Amino acid sequence: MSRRRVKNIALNDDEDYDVDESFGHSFEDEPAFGVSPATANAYLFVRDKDTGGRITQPPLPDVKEEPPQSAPAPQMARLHVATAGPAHSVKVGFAGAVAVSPSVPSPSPRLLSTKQQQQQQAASSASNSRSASPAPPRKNGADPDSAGGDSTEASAASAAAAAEAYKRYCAGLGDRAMINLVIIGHVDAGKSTLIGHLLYLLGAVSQKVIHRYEQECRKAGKPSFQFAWVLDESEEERQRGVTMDVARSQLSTRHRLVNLLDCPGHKDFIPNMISGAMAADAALLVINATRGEFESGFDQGGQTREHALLARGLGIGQLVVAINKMDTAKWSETRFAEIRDKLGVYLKSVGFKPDCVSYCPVSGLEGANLNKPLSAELCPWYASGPTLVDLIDRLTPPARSVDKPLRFYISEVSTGGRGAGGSGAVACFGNALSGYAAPGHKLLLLPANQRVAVKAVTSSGCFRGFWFGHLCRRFRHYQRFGGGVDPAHFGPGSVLSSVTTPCPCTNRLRAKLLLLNVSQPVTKGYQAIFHQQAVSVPVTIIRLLAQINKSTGQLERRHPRYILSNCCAEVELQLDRPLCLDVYTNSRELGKFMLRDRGVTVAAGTVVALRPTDSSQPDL
Amino acid sequence: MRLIHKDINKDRSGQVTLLPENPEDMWHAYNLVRVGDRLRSTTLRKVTTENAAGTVSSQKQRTTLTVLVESVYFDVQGCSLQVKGRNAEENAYVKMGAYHTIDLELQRKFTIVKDEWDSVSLDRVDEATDIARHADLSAIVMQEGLGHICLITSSMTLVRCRVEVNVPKKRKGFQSSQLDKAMQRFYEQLYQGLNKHINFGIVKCVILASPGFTKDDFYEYCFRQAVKEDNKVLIENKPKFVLVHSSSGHRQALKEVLEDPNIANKLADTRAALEVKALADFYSMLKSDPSRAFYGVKHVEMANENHAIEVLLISDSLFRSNKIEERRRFVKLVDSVRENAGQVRIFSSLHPSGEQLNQLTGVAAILRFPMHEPDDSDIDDDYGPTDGDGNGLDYPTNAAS
Repeated sequence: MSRRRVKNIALNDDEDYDVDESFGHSFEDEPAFGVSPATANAYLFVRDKDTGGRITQPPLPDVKEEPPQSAPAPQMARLHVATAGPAHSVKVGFAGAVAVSPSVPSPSPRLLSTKQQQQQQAASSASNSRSASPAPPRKNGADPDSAGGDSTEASAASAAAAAEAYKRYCAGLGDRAMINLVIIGHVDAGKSTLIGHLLYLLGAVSQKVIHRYEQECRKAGKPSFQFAWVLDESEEERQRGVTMDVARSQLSTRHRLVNLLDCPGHKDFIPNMISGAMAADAALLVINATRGEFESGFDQGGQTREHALLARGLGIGQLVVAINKMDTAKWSETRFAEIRDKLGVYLKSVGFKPDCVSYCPVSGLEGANLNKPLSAELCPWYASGPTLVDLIDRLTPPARSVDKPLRFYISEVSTGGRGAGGSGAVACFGNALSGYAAPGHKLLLLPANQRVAVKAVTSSGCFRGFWFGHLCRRFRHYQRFGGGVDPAHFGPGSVLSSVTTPCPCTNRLRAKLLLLNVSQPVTKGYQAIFHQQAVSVPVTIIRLLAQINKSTGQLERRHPRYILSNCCAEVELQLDRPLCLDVYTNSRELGKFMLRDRGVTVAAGTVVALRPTDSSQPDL
Repeated sequence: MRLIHKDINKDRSGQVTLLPENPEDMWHAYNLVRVGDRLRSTTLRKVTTENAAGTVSSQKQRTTLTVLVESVYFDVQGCSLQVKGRNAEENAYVKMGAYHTIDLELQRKFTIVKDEWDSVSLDRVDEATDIARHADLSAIVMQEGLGHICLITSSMTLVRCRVEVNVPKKRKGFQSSQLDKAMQRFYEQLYQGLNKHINFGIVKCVILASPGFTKDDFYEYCFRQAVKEDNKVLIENKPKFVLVHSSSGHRQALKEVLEDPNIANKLADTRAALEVKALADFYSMLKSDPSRAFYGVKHVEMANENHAIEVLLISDSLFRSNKIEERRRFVKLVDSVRENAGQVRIFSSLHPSGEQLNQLTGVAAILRFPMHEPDDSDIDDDYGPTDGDGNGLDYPTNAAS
């Protein structure tokens, strides 16, 4: 009921709007601008009641209750507007979840701001009643003040706001660092079972649920799948017994809060695996120790190699190798050593540093060596070794860049999702690649080139209500709601970026490619599929610029006629449609891509330079 | 296409009268009609008459016009050919030299008068009038959320319909019913596209290709719907459906579809498959022995001078050039390769392999013996096989003409 009122008010913007009220401040700061005080009061009042009723989740134990702070809100907002100048001065604190308010890409800025003002006001009032959510714990080492204390003129206010927001954010995090772990490996290596069992042992899944799954599995004729079913939730996956899409879950160990991404192992689902791995900081490679299985997985056609290659190509530096199904191999040390040595050689050749790789024998189905160390009778040669959880604990989280302009990469969109907050809201899921944002912020959606405003932010799939932008490093998995915008403009691959420094978007680029195994030499006109983050687009190589020495980086041949496998070359690419890309040195996530053709990964590449969009069609 | 009349003189000038029967014939016609030719056909002309009372009325009058061609336009999706030019013959309704655009229609004959009928054009006339009908296939390549419905004839690959639906990925706690709903929507659109764009009368085979299990799901959905809606046409044509694996749902996956051995027997003599194979041969030669695989006009001509070409791959877009000199050059190349007992494969630009060849400058050759690759910087006419400085020229010198 209250929401309806809000809607009506929004619609009556035009009538209430009065030009003469714009004195002094930027009109975007004034929450009640353009709306008569009575209406504003009514609106405010309504919103409060509304949100107060909606937030039902109890605050989590770790978290300190933040005093309501309405002061930073306008400050942040003002900050956002005022610093229209130099690039990095927009220090928008990036909250885990950002809800995008119905921002209409209307020609008149006033209307936009009015709506936004209402939303901002709503957000600010909501913040008063907000409960600090357990935002993902920040990384330990990074210094918030250095991020906030960048030297630009406007940064005095921004630094203060940023540090402020950051402190609030950290307060909610506890002392655990966040890390994103992707689980990869050949088909039937036991990835889903391993993770399912781990979740069960660490208490994230209850005994009752597992018991229920066990019964269902047995009925369905797949008796040992009960742990895998924790993650494979769709009918089709359960029926076929394979993971088809990346499943996300979370678990917390002693020192880390781990976001797990369980990837499919089949060759056909590698595009999904790429989108999962792009978001990860470390990888857990699961190997099947059963005699014959390991060999087939490790062969040329097997996914063990390709996954490891892809992981390295996508920039993952740390690897934990879990040698699974050791119970079928009777926990033999020779088998373990054999696998470890073979893999070690291969991983080194792929580019993983030996000290960033750790090995661990486990049994996913039985649950051995996952959480509790192995007993001496079962496995005397590993009795004192670290468990899988210990190894995960030791992974180093990477540095997150908050001082860079905001880039939020959308990997999915859903309209009419739960709690979407009313008229025309759009919920976007994705990753924050850099920077930060807060509810009420105006952002630019690319490549659709639409302006949106943030309405609410939630983290890791849980709706936490309206709360303020907390400064956060690379925030993962949060939702945004955007309303009034055409949901067709949102799609996987869109990037929400700060208005002042929008993300570049083009369909022509120059890139450096490292060719992997290609069946035919790459010439001009070679067509492949370009995989970047969550999207894949057909691409053509329109020019071969130079062939470069793989190790030294020196120019070997200019304008080669063709390039063979295992060569490094600089080429010019043309995509079928524009994507949000950035040069690799500016943004690692947006500058990395893979080329695949006919089901095989052909090349890993980084963007060197962007060219203006070329919309010419080849004529017949 | 039916050949009605052919009259070529000794000096290679003459006229040919053809009757187009299906859209593919329009494509052949597009490759035949060039700027500077004369085209005679019946057409509609808007004629304005003024009667005694002074009122002006206009009506469409059907008349036979001969037009001196100035520009040719082909619409791929609709397969229609429009030829613009000036009137070249006396006509009751149109002045000499007046501009007119002829829109060639099916089942109406037209005559092309050329000053020079070269071998390539005559070959194309022969090919177009060939009575043996090649297989027409339709292929649906799809992946989750993206699908293309295409029609493959012997010289064209047309994308009839493209379906793109945003399918959300699964999430923890997310209702998988939503996922299914989105996929159902996707299948529904594909199903509609299938019914609308595929003419089961002329299509011999319908290929469903996808990575993963999408094709199986779609196949089941399709026939469930057909039974529900009592779609007799679809049910009768069920045996024509073939399921094939492809690596993605993008257009490029069509190439893999054509190479698949499962449907090779159905495609047996389709030009599309032959072209794909020829291009694959070229690439494998480029990989194994790069000095026997050349591409680019200058390189190939140089190789031709040494009678080294065994197979010449050339795209038909080169013959559609408006500059007579350029066209002559390529025709000369083709003729000389044929004289030297080499094979010539002319690729259609509408097939995916033809597109790829176009990107690769449009002309490529597999040689009989290895030849030294000329540097891109110093291609000049003096470059001969008997190079004094012995730069790895390892072919017999008496091969030089």
